[in-house]
Amino acid sequence: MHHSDEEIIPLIQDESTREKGFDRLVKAYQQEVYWLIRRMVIDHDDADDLTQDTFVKVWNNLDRFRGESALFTWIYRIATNEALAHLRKKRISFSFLALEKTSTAAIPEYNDAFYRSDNAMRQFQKALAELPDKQRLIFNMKYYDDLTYEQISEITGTSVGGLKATYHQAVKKIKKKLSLE
Amino acid sequence: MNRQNSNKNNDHRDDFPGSFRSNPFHVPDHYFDELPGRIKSRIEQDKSRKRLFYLRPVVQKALLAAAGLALLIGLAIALLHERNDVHVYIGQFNGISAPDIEATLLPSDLDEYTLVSFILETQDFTGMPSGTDITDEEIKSYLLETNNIEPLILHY
Repeated sequence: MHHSDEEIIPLIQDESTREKGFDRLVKAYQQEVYWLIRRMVIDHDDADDLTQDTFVKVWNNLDRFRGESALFTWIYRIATNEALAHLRKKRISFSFLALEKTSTAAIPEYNDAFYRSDNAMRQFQKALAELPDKQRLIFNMKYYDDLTYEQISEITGTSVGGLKATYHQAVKKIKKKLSLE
Repeated sequence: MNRQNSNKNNDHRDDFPGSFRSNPFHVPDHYFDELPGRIKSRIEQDKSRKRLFYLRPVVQKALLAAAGLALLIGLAIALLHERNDVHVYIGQFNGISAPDIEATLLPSDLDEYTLVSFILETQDFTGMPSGTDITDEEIKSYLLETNNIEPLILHY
């Protein structure tokens, strides 16, 4: 059973119950954080590391959480920063064209996705992976996580208008790629 | 779920076929059961590293004190060694060849008196051939009166 923010926040704000509150927070958010990161970095091991890093940062900054933003917004912001920083650092190239020329077996993180997908799904994933990092992040938050533009705005610091434009651009790009292939 | 979203604004779901929303990735078995424990371990490791960090200034001070002490000891040994070198240097004259002594003494500032004292203190004149009726006093007086005694000693 997952606890609500209303139950978790008072626990983490009180030093004597902070650890208990954090345990509940991890259980409540681990899957959302993991999948948010995994969709961005693709590789499970990277996603695992970054998920742990995210929660370590959450723990280290719990005393700074004032409850001015929603708990999930705050955690998502840390997670997205971790994922984007990781991608910047690794300069991961999601070049599926190059990937198709070589053996997919050489890149295990993609095997996982490919073996479980039908052809249309593969093309969709391929088109999605070719989006710029931040556009992909916004698309994922909207399309997979069902976040509102207001929530995404709070997490990313981008205006709602900018987010709407970014999302529609992403959809357009993906559709164009799908229709071409 | 901790974020209460209205389902009214879910038009984006129609952008692509519903099957595209399914998750193409998977995680190892029991991954999410074990993740909280691993996060706790990471936090504990982080705490240990921080504790080490807090100890570091103490360790640094100790190392600095030890380095200072080592420097003082080193200086003291160097000074003592330098003084010993003088004694060793003079004491080793007997085993060194004449050209070596010449090469060392000629450019030096040693005066005759020092050399006379050295010879009188270290040389044994009792083994000299008989018939040379020269007393110690005469030798001493000769050496003291001769200005340039160094070549004489060196060619002896």
